[in-house]
Amino acid sequence: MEKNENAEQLLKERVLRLKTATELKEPDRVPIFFPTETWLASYTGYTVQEIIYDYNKMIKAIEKSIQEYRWDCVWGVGSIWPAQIFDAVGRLDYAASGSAFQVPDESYMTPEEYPELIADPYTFIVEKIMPRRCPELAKTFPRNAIALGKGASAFALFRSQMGAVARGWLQAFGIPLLVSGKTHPPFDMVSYCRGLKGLLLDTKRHPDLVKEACEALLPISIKYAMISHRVTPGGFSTVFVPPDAAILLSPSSFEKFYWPTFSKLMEAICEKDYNAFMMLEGNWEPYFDFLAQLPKGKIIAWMESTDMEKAKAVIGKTMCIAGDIPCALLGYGTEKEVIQYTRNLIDKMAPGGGFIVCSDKEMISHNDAKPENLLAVTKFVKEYGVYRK
Amino acid sequence: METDFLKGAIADLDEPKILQLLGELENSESSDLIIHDVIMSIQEGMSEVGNRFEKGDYFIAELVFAAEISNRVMAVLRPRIKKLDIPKKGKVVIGTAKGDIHDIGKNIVRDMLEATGFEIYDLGVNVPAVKFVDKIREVNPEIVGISGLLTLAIESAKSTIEAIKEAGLREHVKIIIGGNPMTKPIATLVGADEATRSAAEGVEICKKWVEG
Repeated sequence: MEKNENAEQLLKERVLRLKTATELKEPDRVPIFFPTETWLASYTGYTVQEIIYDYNKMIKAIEKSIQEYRWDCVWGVGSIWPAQIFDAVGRLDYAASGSAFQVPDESYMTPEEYPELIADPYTFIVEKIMPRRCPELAKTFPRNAIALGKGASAFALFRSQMGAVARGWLQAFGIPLLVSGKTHPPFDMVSYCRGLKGLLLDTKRHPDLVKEACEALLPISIKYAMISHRVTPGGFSTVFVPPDAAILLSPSSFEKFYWPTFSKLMEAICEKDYNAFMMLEGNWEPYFDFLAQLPKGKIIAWMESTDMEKAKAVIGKTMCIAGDIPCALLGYGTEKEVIQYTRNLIDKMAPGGGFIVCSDKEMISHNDAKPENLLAVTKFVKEYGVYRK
Repeated sequence: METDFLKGAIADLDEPKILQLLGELENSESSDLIIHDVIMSIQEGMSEVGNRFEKGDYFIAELVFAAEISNRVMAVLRPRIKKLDIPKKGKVVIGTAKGDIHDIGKNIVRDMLEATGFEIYDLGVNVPAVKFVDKIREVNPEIVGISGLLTLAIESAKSTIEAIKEAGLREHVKIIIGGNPMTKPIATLVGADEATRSAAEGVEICKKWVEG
């Protein structure tokens, strides 16, 4: 790994830039990064299989992108899940398509089991849901225990290796790791037990049980954030929160089922003085009034298909907005088209601060961005995105 | 039986009332005329569900519920419909593109299309191009629906449509791509006739195609 001469200075500038934008103020220029996930494989000439099984290849791929693009942060190393963990417990989430991490929507509990989940969610998940989700954990002792041990040690190894690697990037390249912890809102956690389709039907058929289940899972959801988040001294990091199922609900259902525990989770993260990075896929406009009530200046809201100007107007005083250069444009458009889009985006979003440039989606597939488009847009933002005093 | 009542119950997603009506239907010697009216009511009820979705009153949760309810009704009606020989609106071959295993959206569209009177051939998820081609040859559908949530499905939809072209079948079918990344420019890019990110709009497009 080739060290940047001025890594220390770069780190200071980048951290201040991200921090200032998150605090809804104008930094020296608009921060920029791209959430590169398994896209990194094709970019480096590896297969997806290679980078999900061989951490060294994954590290090389990320380092190549750090050195080539010089964005303001690294997206996160945990966004490419190591396949060994899943193999150990018999999950086939990667194998299903061979191309990206995908979770099939299945129900692992019946509606009749809600009282059991509500009474003791941790025990219910460990003893009932996990063996149903992970075939190896359903085997008889000691095979289930060996599988769990294998999975847990693969996970621990991954975390300790990657933690050291990320600290190395901080020192050598002066680049912070944006996502260094994660959690899921309680409603989504219930969906991992009951299945998304099952849970949506339950909001109609068993509304009270769904509400109680979300309340029961709130402490686990908060604890997940607290345990997983590692604050690197001198860096800038966030807890990744993907409120996936929220936009499937009408605003009135959202208020009833999703918001009560989701808002408490976000408050708990912010109270701890952590920053949060919310992945808001789909159109969030119908939920703006709720988002505007969340803690101010601590959260980055990553938009996928929400009207950016409206977002800035309504929730821009509460949270930093990130987005939303379409991957379709980065992957299929010309440099000129990408720059035209980005110029317009900066004109609308940058004034007053509280804005970060990135793509609209996580980059998983080779067609999510042409490397030359990323280079062109990065160069453009570094020039055009400067705030003039 | 009050079939207008059924239309309203479907539109309002009143499951208990629908189940009660369904029970009455099963336990009685309903005439073919009544069955015909029931099917029309379901079609109209589902159409209203689609309208409410487009207006923003209903969200995906309501579409999932509507699809579930209509599925339960259709399970009871299917044998009667076969005997009745009610003309179908058309045939649709549908599946999630290769590499993508997401199917909630595809299943909503499938169930809504069936409730609307289409004959559906669902190829499932992660469907290779050759499976689409074989099914099109076998059943000769008016419409092919390719679904995908991930951006990688764009490339798969493109190669699937190329395979349909190579098999000499492209002129015989209308092709719609559906799902989050499937915008109109992407339809042009992959060679589809239409694209939609809304299940309800997808159903409307299919209806327009066969009704002319």
